[in-house]
Amino acid sequence: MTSTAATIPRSSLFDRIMVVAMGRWQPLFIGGVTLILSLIVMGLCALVAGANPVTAIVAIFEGALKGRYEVLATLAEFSAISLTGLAVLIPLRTGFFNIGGQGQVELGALAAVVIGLFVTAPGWIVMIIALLGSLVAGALAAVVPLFLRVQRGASEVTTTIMMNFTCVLFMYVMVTGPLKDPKAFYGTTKLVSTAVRLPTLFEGINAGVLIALGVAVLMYLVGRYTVFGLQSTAVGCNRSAALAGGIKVDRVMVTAVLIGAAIAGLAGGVQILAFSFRVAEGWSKSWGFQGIAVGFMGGNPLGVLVVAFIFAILETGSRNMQAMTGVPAALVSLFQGLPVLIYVGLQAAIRISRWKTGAGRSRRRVVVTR
Amino acid sequence: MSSWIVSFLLATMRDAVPLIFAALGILLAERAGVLNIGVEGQMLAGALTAVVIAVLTQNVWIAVVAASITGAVIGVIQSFFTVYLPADQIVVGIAINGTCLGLTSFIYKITIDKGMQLIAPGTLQSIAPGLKDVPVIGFFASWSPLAYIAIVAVVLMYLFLFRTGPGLLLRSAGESAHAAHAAGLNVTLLRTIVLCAAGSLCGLGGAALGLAVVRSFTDNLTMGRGFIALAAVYFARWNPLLAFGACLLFGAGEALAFRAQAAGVGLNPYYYLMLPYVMTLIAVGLFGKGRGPRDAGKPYLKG
Amino acid sequence: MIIVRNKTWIVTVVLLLVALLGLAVAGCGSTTTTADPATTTTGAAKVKAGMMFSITNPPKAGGWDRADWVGVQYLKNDLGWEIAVAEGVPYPQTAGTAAGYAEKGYNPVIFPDAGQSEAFKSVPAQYPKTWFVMMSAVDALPDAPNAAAWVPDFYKYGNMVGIIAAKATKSGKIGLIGGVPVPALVILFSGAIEGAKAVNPNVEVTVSWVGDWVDLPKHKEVTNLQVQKGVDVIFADSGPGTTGVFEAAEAGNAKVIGFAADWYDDAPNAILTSALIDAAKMYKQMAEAFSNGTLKKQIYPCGFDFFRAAPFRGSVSAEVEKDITDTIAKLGSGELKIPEVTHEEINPQ
Repeated sequence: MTSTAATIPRSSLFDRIMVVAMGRWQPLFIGGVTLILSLIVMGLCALVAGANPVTAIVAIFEGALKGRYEVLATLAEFSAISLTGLAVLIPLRTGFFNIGGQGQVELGALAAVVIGLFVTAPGWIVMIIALLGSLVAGALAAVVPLFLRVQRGASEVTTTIMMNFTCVLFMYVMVTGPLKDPKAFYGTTKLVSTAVRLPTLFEGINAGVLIALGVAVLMYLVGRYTVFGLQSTAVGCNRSAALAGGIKVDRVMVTAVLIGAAIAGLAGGVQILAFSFRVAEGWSKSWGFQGIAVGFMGGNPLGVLVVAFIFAILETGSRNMQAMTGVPAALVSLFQGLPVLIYVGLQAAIRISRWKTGAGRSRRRVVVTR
Repeated sequence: MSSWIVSFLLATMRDAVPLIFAALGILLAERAGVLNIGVEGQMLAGALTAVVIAVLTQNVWIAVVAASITGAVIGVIQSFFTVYLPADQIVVGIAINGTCLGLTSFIYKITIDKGMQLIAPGTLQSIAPGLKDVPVIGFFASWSPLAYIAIVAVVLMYLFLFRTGPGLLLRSAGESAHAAHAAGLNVTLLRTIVLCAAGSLCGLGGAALGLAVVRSFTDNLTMGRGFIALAAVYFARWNPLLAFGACLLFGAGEALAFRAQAAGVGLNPYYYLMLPYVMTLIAVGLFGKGRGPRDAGKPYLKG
Repeated sequence: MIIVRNKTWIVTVVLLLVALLGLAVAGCGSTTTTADPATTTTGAAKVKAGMMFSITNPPKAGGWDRADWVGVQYLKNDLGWEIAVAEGVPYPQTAGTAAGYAEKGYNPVIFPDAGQSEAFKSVPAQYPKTWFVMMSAVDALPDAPNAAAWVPDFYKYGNMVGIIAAKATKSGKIGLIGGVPVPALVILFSGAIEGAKAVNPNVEVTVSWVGDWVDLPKHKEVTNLQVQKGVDVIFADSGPGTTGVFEAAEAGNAKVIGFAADWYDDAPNAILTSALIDAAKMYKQMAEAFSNGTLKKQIYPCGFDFFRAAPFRGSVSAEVEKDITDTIAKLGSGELKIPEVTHEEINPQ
């Protein structure tokens, strides 16, 4: 028998890097490439706008990370985006697309404000009730799409988008109507009192950030070590097999969606109690939509944290870039869309190329025949 | 007819035209099995192209064609990501929306920084403005030419989808991509072409917004109208004729919202703006999923 | 060849390097940007001002923003100030942006929009070393000593607008369109109503609020409704959405009076004239006071000498134009007295 591989090729540095990069750390690697490509595009746009691209890119990082105030602002965004990312990720594991995050955030925020303004009790008790209330409100926002999916088989892609706008507009109705601060000339509620707000801990970092981190870690543990977590993965991978295996598929999915939506509501509640203290026309950013990208790109709760942090950097940094270099504010939206396209594209391209070559494993095996 | 009703009906028609084109685009794509969530981005791009080209060439029809082409280009880009790669259609759609919002605002700012007055010729505002005050004909003369084109498009779309062979093939690709492939259909190519056409229709909707409803462009001109068109498609269970009706209904809701706010009467205007979404949810709840394309949204992987 | 047994630490090292790189970029950035105070030709330290607009594209946006932009250009080009401008900041996020500027050492922080009064009243107390100036109407200064405001007399300005509208209208019906019902605008419109009534007691005034500064179709619709009621002269204070007003006015053969800046180039057919506000003068005064150290916590009133009408360019007959100009002169000199009435009923709140 002739040997087809007489010598074992020495693996080059490139090979070793690629093995690691395409393996467990693939999301990170793709994320890095995405970031670099996005920054290049941003630089080009800055050039077109007549600004110095290097200054513009530097302004992004400075605006996000240089200085205590900047880092705190980035962490504030991070706490929202990481939670909305989890809100998409957890239902996604069971095969449910939760795109209604924005609406769930708004409802959760509304609940937190209402409880904060109208419940009389010692400050920290109201705070706890408000956070719990935002969890419930977020979950409530998912009830209708859930019902329509389970009972009517309606695709949740539509229903969650519809619910999104319904919730946001409902919040606007409340804020321009019954809950409106009579002294204001646009739709806004009064500020929640200081006693009710989330405390600032060490170095100015707010408890809200820690809540976000805690929830992510919790979800990671739940996903890997609890029955529910494993069942979710099973349901998502192969629904009929899970059903055949005795898992109550519907119940698992419903639970996952409610948990996810509740987390989105919590994101709203945390933003209110930690950073914004009231809801108004124009109070929020597009955390819900960013969460969709983050949830997809993150892959698992810890990955969500990383991606959310990068998104937060882009968010606060690009606003600084606009203010400092005169590059149009429009690029902020570009920053939210383009990296997602690049990332998703790269991920899919790699998946397809691996699939096409039939290499299901990521590690290269060296075959020696004698 | 009292002038309030006339003005209300005219406003309804005017607001509905962009929705109709966009809804046709979404519907076509979904019937072939692709979710076109990037409709907002396509509309914005179409609107900006239409206004800029109209100002540069002073010819609205060239502008309309240009807008369709822009929408088609975005459709092709979208199909590269969702059909060829394929990546998840929802994420790509939302990313396209964000990217187009950023790009259109960016280009808009650059053009006005260069001193361009982005006010397009008003040819598309109505067919025969001189006939405005003539009793019955005046009403129909006040419609935009694009409105008539939209109505024709709706009928053509219905006929194409339900009465022609290619339409049947298209729908089969949406019902079961694998079966269609087994029958010899090149599903990937079909979906790419369909996304291209859908993109151009949505771009046309943007042109209608930027040239017929108003004559200019501003950041985020669409303000969520793409999603209202999406609601219309689901409300109408992927049927072009019903979608036309749904767009009229939702256009009426928008017109009503303005009037209520201006007159200071009626419900909080935001309730009227909620109308499309709530009605769609109710419709889905009452009538179930409907016989929509089964494979919509699932990436098609050969082999 | 190094055999790596544990791939994890490679990645950890790479991660750390990337993180360090990012921080290094952020840190090193300070030596390449002009964050250090530079000296102008007069030898004074360079002034770093921060301001935020609630809309985007201020140079081409609403009338008030354009007028302010002239002032901003003056500060930048004539005085050599370094100005950071944040655009598109919604009202609820203004306080955060202003605080951000103060934190970074920007001084003064400028609020160009009356709608930002909430932030203007809450932020100064937290940053006593920074001056906060409001370049628009505000009803009261905050408690802190480091705040001042240049307040145009919007009531008098409104009088002027009302006079122009009432004299130019042929149908006897005039319209006022506002974006967001900020208190300054309510005062302005009240002045317009009174001014119009003073020259024509039978004039009919319709007030409409669009609800935002930017939605073009909405602005067009609201204007349509007015035009259908017979309104033929409209005064629009509605930011970038004014373009929608122009479209509807042109279609309905109505004329528009532009707010604060000269709008003629935007809609030559629809513009009657523009009621100009010399915001640049306000900025000049503010800059002088700041640089000389004479800036005090007070409201600096900007009276009639800041207002005038733009050239009519033949939009009305010569005699009507003379009539208007004369009446405005009388208003300015005090010969024409108009009662001060605040029409709260037009406030939709």
